[in-house]
Amino acid sequence: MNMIKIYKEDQNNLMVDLKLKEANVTNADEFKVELMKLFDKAHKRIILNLNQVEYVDSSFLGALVSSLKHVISYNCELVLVGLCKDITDLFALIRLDKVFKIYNTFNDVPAY
Amino acid sequence: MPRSASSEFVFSTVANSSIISLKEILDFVNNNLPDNIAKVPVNFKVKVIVSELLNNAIKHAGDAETTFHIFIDDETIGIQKTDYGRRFNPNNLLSMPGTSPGTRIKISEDVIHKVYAIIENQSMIRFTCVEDTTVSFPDVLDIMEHFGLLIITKSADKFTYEYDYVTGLNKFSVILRLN
Repeated sequence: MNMIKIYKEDQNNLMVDLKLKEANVTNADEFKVELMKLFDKAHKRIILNLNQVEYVDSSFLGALVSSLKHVISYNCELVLVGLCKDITDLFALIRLDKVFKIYNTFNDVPAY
Repeated sequence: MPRSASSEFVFSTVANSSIISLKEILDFVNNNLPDNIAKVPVNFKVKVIVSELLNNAIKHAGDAETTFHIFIDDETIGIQKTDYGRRFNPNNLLSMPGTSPGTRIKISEDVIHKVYAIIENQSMIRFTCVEDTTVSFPDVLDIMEHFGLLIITKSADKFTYEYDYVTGLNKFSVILRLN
C-alpha cells in the first residue's frame, strides 16, 4: 500500500501527502518504512502534509518521532503541515508541537 | 434533579474498527452531556483517552474483545476498559517486594515528562505525570516514542489500573471532571 504520495519536489524539499484517514497502530510501521524509502538524503527537508488525516494515535506519533530522529541524523528536517484541530491539540498536550516544525500548509513553510 | 446515564460497548480488538468504536462512544457522550458543558473540549479528551485505551487493547491485551463502560452524571464522565487479556505489569511493578501503598515507581521518562505508577494497594495503581515546563524546545533525541500512557494520564483527572487476581480481569478506569 502506498500511503505517501509525492506532491512536489525541488532541490531541497520533498513535499508529500499522507493518504490516510486514520493514522494508527495498523499503519504506523508501514508509514515509517515508506517514508524512509522516499528519504533519499538528497533533499534537505521532507514536508509531510497530514490534511487528510482525522485521527492519530500514539503508535503513529511514535513513528513520526522515530522518523524525525532518523532524518535529523542526516542533518535533514521533517516538517509537518495540514494538522486538523484535534491533532494540533494532541501535539500540544504532549508538547510535540515544540519538537516538530509545524505549519498550516505547504505554502506557509519558509524557503529553505 | 441530578441525572446520570451509562452504557456498555463491546469491541473486537481488530485494529481497523477503532474509528467506528470511537464514534459510537462519542455519540453516547454527546447525547448525555449536561447542557451547560462545552462539547468540544470534552470530546477531545474522550476521543484521545478511548483511542489510547483501544490502542492498548489492540497492542498488548491479547484478548479478542474489550469492553468499555461509560457513565456520565452532572459532574463526571467515567470511562472503564476491561478485558481478560495479559495483566498490565510494566517493570513488574505490581510484583515488586516491599512496594507498599504510596510507593511511586517510574514507568517512562524523557526530557519533558516522567510517568509514574503510584501503588494504591496490591492490585491497583494510579498513574501520574510530572512535566518539566522549563524545557522550551527539546531535542527530539531526548523524546520518548511511547505516548499512550502519557496521553491518558495528562488528559484524565484520575487514571487507574486494577487487576483481579481471582478472575484475571484487567480494569483501566478514567475519571474526567466536568466542572
